[in-house]
Amino acid sequence: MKCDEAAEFVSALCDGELIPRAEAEHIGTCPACQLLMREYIEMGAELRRVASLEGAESTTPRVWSGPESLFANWWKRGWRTMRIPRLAFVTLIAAIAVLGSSLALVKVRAHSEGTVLVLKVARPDAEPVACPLSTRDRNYATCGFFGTTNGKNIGYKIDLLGHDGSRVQLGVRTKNLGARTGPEDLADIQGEPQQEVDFEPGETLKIDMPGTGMLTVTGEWFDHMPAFIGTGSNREIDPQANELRMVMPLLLRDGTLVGDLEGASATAPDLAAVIVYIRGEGLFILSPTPVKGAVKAHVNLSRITFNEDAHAYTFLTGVPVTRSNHLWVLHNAGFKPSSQMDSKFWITTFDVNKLPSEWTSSAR
Amino acid sequence: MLDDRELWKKISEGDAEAFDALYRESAARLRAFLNHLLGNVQAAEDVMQDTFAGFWRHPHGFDPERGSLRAYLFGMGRNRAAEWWRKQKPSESFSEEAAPCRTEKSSMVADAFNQLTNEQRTLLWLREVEGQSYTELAAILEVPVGTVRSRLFVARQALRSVWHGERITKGGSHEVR
Repeated sequence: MKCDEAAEFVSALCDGELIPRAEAEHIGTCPACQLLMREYIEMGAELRRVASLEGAESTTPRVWSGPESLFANWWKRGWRTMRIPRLAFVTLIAAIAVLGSSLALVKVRAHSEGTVLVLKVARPDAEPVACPLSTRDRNYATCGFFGTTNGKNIGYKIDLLGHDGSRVQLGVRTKNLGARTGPEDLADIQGEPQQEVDFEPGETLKIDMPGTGMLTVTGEWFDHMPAFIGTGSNREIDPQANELRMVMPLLLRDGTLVGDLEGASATAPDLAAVIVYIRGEGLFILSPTPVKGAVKAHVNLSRITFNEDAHAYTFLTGVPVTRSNHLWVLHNAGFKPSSQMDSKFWITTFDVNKLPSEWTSSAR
Repeated sequence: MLDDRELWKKISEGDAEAFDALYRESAARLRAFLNHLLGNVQAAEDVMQDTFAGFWRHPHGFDPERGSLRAYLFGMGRNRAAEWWRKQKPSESFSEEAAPCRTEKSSMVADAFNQLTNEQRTLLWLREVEGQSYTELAAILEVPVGTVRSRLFVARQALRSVWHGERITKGGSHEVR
């Protein structure tokens, strides 16, 4: 064997690596290779000596307070102007997302020069939720939703903190509400620790949120704010089996518009109910299964009609509501929300078998 | 003494005391490493501080399965040093750029070391000074382990070659093989 052939393994041997037997035997008997090894060792020792001298120099003490966003002020401005209604959410399976103004499904080719990043955020054992964020429109600098993971009600909030080319910096907050089903607001999550992550569409990002589990995030760039159907990643115009979707509904009473839930929607899977509150009109529980005291409503694609107390009601929604041609509506006109929940309107989903008594007690 | 996983867990939970312990233990070493990459004491200090601040802001990029916490920090530091170089001279590649390093603790080996490429200095420093394993180096540099071995060899040969040249220039009496 020639020394040139063994030289690379002399280097490896210096590092304590295992090397092939033939090379080891050569090095063991070759004075030139042994000299090379001594030189390598000497060079390493000299580097460590220099490093010891430099590393002994003191460092500037620093105070490490809680991680804060470099973009905190920017974000706060965004929060004040964001279009997400600051709804009170009462949730088991609720999900709310910012929606585009168009309801037509538009497919565009994703590219890295887009201004809208659509994240798909998946919780353990749950369908991904679409989360659109705009690099230009601060009204779309935040998205959030509530959902149930392992029996715990958890709020999620994602902020777009900044971007550099196709890479973005995201701030992720979660809040574990446990089994609590009381009203929640996205603003409540703001007090939770924020985890900042870098993300580039094309990657699959795993974010381990302490206490709330792993989030899996993927994403695509769009050159406009795409339209979404419901709040999940489901983009089919056809509802899923046992699904009830209310996408930015309008409420007409006797032909007059009395409620407009612009920007809010809810998708209830597994025969859960959708709950709609409209100030002045009360609470509407829309259930795919019969509920005591509810009236039967007819469903025709995106139109729900029912009569109650000599009034004709119509809910108009952006997309077909359910595969069924009927559902049940329990209207609690006398419902008085707590001050915390007294928004202009809110929408959520709920297990129809666990409806709070205050929602149903004053209903007719 | 906490192991890497415990320390990282505490840091992830916002434990400033745990993070400060990591800073006190590793900051000077990282700065020394960056000083040899950047050839600029102030830049090394700035990049070191930026590296720690970045890790404090989002510590979840670290994966305990892939290597030690210090290896991860040095990898972060190396990337930020590359970024610093790009900002200084956008047209020049980090890995091909040899930055002159002025250190008061200079020696012939150190002088020779400073004439290597950034990648060679990174490899040799992390291996010889920081004791990173081949696996950790492969993770930091994002290359196969076999490539680490061959590149370390090339780096050592380059250092040896320059060192021998330095011996002739400065000493004049050393034997040159």
